[in-house]
Amino acid sequence: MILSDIKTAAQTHPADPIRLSCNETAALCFKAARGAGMAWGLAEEAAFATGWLCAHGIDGAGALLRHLDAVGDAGSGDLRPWPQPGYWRAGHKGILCPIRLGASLLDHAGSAQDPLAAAIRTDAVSMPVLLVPFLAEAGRRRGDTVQLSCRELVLALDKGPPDLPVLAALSRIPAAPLWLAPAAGTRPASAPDAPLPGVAPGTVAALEAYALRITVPATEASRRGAGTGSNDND
Amino acid sequence: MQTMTQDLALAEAASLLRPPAQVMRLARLGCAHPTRLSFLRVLLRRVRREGWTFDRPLWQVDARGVGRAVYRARGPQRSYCLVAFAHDLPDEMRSDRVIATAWDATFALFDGEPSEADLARLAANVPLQEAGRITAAELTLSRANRSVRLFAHVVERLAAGQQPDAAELDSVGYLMRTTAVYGSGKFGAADRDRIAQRPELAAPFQAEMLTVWLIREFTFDIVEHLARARGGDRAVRLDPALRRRLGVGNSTGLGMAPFLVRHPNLLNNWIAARETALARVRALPSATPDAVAAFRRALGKACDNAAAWKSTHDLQLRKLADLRADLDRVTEWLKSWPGSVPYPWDALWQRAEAELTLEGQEALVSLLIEPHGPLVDNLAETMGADEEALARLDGSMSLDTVQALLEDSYRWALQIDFSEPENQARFWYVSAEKLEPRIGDRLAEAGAALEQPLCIARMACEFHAAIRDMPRDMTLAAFLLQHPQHRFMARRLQMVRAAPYAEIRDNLIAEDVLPIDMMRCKLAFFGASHFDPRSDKWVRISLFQGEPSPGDLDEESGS
Repeated sequence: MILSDIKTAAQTHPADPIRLSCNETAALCFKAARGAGMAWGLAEEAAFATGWLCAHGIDGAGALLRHLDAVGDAGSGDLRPWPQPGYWRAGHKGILCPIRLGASLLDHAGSAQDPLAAAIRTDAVSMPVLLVPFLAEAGRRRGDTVQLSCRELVLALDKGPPDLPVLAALSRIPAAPLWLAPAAGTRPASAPDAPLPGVAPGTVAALEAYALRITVPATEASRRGAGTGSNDND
Repeated sequence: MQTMTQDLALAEAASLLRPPAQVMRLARLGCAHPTRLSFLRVLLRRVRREGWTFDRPLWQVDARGVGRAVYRARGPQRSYCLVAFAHDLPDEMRSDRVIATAWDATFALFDGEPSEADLARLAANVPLQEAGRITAAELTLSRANRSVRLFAHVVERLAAGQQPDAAELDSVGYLMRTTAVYGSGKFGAADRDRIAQRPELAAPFQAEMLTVWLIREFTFDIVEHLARARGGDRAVRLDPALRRRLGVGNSTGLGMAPFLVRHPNLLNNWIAARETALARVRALPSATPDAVAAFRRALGKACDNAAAWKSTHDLQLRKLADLRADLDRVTEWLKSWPGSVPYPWDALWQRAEAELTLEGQEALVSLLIEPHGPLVDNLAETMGADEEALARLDGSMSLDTVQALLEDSYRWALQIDFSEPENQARFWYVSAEKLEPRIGDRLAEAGAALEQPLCIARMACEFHAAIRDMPRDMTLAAFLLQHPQHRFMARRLQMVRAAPYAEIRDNLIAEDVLPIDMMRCKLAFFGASHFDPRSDKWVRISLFQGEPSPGDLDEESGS
C-alpha cells in the first residue's frame, strides 16, 4: 500500500531492479498518472496498461514514466487524438498520449463506429508500447487480431500471447507514428506466465514523486483522526 | 422433481431479494454482522471438509521470546506455511498505526514449504514489513502487537501453574492483534491473478484468513513458551476451553473504508451473496425441526456474544443497546414461533423489519442464514470478483441511454444538493506524511483540490449535468474523448447495470458521514466479531474468537 517505503532488502544492492508485482505496478502507476494530471478514469486506464505489460514481463512502469516525463506539462487536452477516417491525428503538440489513444480506440472497439474495422494510421504516439494492452483487449473484444506496425516492428495482438521479443523492442521506442489494421484469425487465450520485469529503483522513486503531487500535507487535526495520541500499550 | 422444486424455490427467492435502495445505505451497512458466508467461516468449512492437516515443523524461540517458527497447513493439493518472527519489542515502540517500524511479531504466508534459504530471505525482510520486500513465493505479509496487559496476565498465571482469569480474557478477547495483513501483490507478494484459480483461494481473502488463523496458534504457543521459560516445570498450558475464547485482534484505521468504494464489483458480489442467502431462507415454505433448533442455538450464541461485546465508544454503546434489546425481543417471539404459519422464516423476517432497529434486523439476517448451510453455502463461490474484466466501457452507448441509466441507478445521488455546504463538508485524501487515506473538513483544512474519487454521488451529479446539453445521439466514447474527467463515473455507471449492490447509496462526503460504517461492513464480511470503535475512524475487532484451532479439527475428525 505504501510504495514510497519500498527499499531494497538488506542483502540486495540499492541499484538492483525491484520486482514489483503487477498489482503494485498498477497501483503506483494509477497514482502517478493522476499526479501527472490525468483524469481519474484515464489514470485507471494507465494502471490497466502498465499492469498488463507487467504481467507479460515488460517494464510498464518505466514506459509510463518515460511518457509522463516526455510530455511534461502538456495538458491532457493537448495530447488527445482527433479521429478522422483512416487517420487519428495529434493536436498542435504533434504527439499523442498512448493512454488516451488506447482508451478511445477501445471504447469504440466492436461497435458500429469501430475505427479498427479498417486500417488507420496515427501521428506520433508517445511510448507506443503503452498502446499494446488496449489493442490486445480490442482484438479480444472484436474476436480477431489487431496488427500494430511501428517502424520495422510488427505485432499481432489478440487474446493470445504477444510476441515478447517484439514487445520488448517496441518498449524501447520513445515515440513514433503507428499503422493499425485488423487481421483475420485469432489464437487461443493464454494466461500470462512471464517472469516479473525488474523496475529500476529510480523509476519507482520518480513515479512516487508524481504520486506525491496528489497527497495532502498533514495537519494536527488529520493526525489525531488517524490515531495519533491513542495508546496502544493496553 | 427435487431439481424442479429447487428451481421454483430459487425463482421465488429472487422476488424476495431486498432492493439496493434498502440494503446499500451506510447506516444499515454499518450494522452488518458476520454470517456463515463470512470469509473466515468459508475457510474453516473448507479445511474441515477437505481434511487439511496442520503441524509446526519449526520452533526456534529463545527464553526472551525471540526467534522464528513455521506453521504448516497441508491441503489436498498444496501446502501453505506461516513463517513467524518473534521479537522483543520495547513498550515505547509499540504502535498499531501504519507508521510503526517494529512489532511484537511479524509474519509471511509462504506458498508451499520454505527452504532454509527462503527462511533467511524472509528473516531479512519480513521484520521490516513495508520497508522490506517479499516475492511471488509469498501470499501475505503481516504483523501483530501484544495486548500488553492480557498477555502479561496470561504469562504470569501460566508460569505460576494457574489458568488465567476468564473474565480478563473475555474483556480483551485476544492475546495479540494484527495491525495489517497485506495480500494481493503488495510489497512484492504473489499477484492475485496468479493464484485466484486455486479452489482454496478463489473466495475473497482466503490467504489472509489462513494467515490470521495460524497467527492465532502462534499467539498461544508464544504465551505458553514464555510461561515455561519463566515458570519452568511449574508452568502449565492454556486450558483448551479458555483458548477457544480467544481470537486474534485486529486494529484498523480509516484506510480500510475506501476499499469498498474502490472495489464495487467485489462489494456487489459480497452483498448479493448474502442477500440471495437471506431470500432463499425466506422462500422456504416450512421450517424443519432441526433448522428451528439450530436457529435457537444461534440466537443463544448471539445473545451471549452481545452480552460479552464491550465498547467504550458512545456510538457503539447505543448500537449495542439496540442489539441486546432486539435479540431479547426475538427470543420472546420464538416462544410462539414457528407455530403453523406458512413461510415461517419470512414471517419472522417481516416482523423484524416492522419492529426491530437496524442492528436487530441485520443480526437477524445472520441468524436466519445460519441454520441453512446446504441451502446457502455454495454462494461463497460467487463472492470473488475480477474488477478488471468487468471494467471495460461500452463507448457505443448513446448519451440518451447514459442519462436514463444515471436517472435510474443514481437517482439517490441526483437528489442531493451539492450547493449546500453540509453536503460536501468532508473530503477524502491521501496524507503526504504517511500516504494513508484520511478524511478532512473541506472548509477548515487545506487540500480539497487533491480530493480522492470517493465522492461518488457528487461525481454522478457532475456527469449528469455535463451531458444534459449534449446531442442525445452522441456516443459515450465521443463524449469522453472531449471530457475525460467523466470517464471514471461513466465506467461505474455501466458497471452498476450488472452489479446492483455495487454502490453505497449515501453521500460519502456529507458532514455526518461515519467512515466506521464502511469498516464495520467490510470487517463483518471477514467474519469479525466484537467491533469496537476507538473513535469514528479507528476500530478494533476480533477474528476467530470462539472458533476451533487447527488441533481441534484433528480431534473432530478423529472422534
